[in-house]
Amino acid sequence: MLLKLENNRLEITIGDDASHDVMNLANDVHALEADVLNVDIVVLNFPTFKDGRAYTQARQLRERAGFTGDLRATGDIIRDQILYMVRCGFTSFEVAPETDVGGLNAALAEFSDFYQPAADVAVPVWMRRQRAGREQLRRFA
Amino acid sequence: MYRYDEFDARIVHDRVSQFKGQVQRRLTGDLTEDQFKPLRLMNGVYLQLHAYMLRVAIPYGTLSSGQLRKLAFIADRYDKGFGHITTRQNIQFNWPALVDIPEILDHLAEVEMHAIQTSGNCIRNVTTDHFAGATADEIEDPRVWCEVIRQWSTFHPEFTFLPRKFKIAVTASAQDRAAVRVHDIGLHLVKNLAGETGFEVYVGGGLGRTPYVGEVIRSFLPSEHLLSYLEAILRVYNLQGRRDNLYKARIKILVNALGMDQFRDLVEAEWLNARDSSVDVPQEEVDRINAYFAPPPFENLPKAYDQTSATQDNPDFARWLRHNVSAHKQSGYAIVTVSLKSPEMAPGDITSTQMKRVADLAGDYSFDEIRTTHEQNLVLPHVRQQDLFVLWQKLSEQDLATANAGLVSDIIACPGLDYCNLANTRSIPVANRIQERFFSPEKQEEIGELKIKISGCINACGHHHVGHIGILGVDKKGEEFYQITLGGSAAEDASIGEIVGRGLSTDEVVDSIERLVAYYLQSRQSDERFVDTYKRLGSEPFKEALYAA
Ligand code: SF4
Repeated sequence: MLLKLENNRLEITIGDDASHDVMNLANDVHALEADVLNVDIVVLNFPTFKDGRAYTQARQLRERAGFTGDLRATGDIIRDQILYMVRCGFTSFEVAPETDVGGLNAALAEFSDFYQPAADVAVPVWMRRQRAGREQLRRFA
Repeated sequence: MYRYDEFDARIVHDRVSQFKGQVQRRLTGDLTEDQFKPLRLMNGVYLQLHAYMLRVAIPYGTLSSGQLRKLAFIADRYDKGFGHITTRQNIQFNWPALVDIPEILDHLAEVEMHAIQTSGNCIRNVTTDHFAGATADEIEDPRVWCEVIRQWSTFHPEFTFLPRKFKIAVTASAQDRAAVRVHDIGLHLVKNLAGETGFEVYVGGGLGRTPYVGEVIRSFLPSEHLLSYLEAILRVYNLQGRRDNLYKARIKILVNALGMDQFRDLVEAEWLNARDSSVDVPQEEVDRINAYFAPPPFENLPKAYDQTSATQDNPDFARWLRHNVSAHKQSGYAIVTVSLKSPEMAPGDITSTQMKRVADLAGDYSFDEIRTTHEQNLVLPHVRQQDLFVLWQKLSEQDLATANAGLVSDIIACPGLDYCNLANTRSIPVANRIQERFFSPEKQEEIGELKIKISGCINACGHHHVGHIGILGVDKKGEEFYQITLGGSAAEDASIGEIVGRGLSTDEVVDSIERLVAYYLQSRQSDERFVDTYKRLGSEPFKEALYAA
């Protein structure tokens, strides 16, 4: 089953890989050595949920290689990691057919504050603190 | 000390809700124990020999009185009235029921505490000098940077499924009380010639099966780049650290396999691209955190308070002053080490009554502040010298004034076979027997600094590799044996102890250690410590003494 991230929610979708350029990137390939320029979809694998190499590969593709296409996670994808995956830049997920999509979406909403910047649009807490501080100054000025 | 703002509070609160859901799914059977295991492990919940164990984070070992009182409450309500201070400055409860853990986390959140990342293959609770903010020999308070690291590493999306656990320690003093060179990353705050502060960065230290002392990867990292440099190291490790063998998965193995030069090149290349990203927090945020670590309102006191009258009548107090009281940066103040190494107790154990008492005493005499140490003791960091005598009396009433900090009975021991399902041997009873053998305070004082560290198996949770005398429990055909290592150190002279020979039986071990000590006493020159004599004479004569029976 393929899930696609739209507006920070996962929806079931039908894959259309045949009409796209798809690249499967193995975990031991350095993401910056892959030529992703003309690729639509890069697929990264989680052989087990404990193997976190693809998190780094994903961030490198997004933040360093400037990859803007669809970044897909396959393999052992569990509810409690989905938020980390999204934060590292994944936008679609090949999950087992019996996956509870509602549960995954609930997991995405479990946190709304993040200390560190990553490949998503979340503004790190320190930046929000600064904004809040400036806002307060303005109000008292 | 640091206080949560709305963001910190909400993150911990959201984590509690998430974990509640996970426990609920486990209890209803939606999750099998196998599926639940990695989730509970991310939150400090282990399944031990007899029960679940909950490890609560004490970020960089700093506690307020209110927090310690809450820990006492948890010990009473959900445990058997005990807590256990760990070698990573955390506290463990050995008897909570799984159903109660979400409630315990609620109680902890009320006092800005949690169990986040106290286990699992992630960046663990960062540790530091337990004298931070009080000692005269520090460049600045290292806890500011610990808090910066704590926030950055909390739920880091990229580094939560590393090849293995990852430990960072920070010190700002020349005298290393935080054992930074036996951590995955050790950070030593230094000033360069221009007077700017930065970090000397060590990488690849660690104990366990294959112990290594960390090496310098960068001799000066400007402090404003700390987080981007840490990310670069972690990134190289996350991609290249071994995942095929649990025992070869720590960063030390990778650093050693590549060699420091190649590892450094990889990190620096990664850092070149990361150093100007927004991962490094701006000075404004560092200043915000720094403000929380402003010194407490010290009084203006004369430099030294005259203790003569009290010490004349109380040799025990005088001894405690000599061993458990350290110099403070503020005139008229002192740092007090509260020993949790009475022979009546497992090393590092503390009763709920003692916790409450220490919390009160910290309120009365130490600006509400308490520290936990990696040597499994407590510290009252800011005590007026004129209060030392009454403080000593009050600590004595609770069996908390054992005058043994750094001495032979101040033993680090892992839980061993009494609690741990990986253990080969018991650790706690061996520690207690050594403490009994060297019971005499006069004798202990004569021996001087001697660090004994005991692990119940090769995982080395009791840090035996870096004990002046290390004791490792091994299993030989179902019988408990103890392997002795000598000459280790976790301090600024960090080194890994050498194995000296065959293992000793439970009956032999205490006698053998007594012979080692006797040999040292007769061979030392002037005020040489045990470990210095060992380094001067080499292992041979000590080996002879050890097996002389
Ligand atoms: S050293 Fe071994 S016995 Fe001791 S706590 Fe660690 S795993 Fe358990």
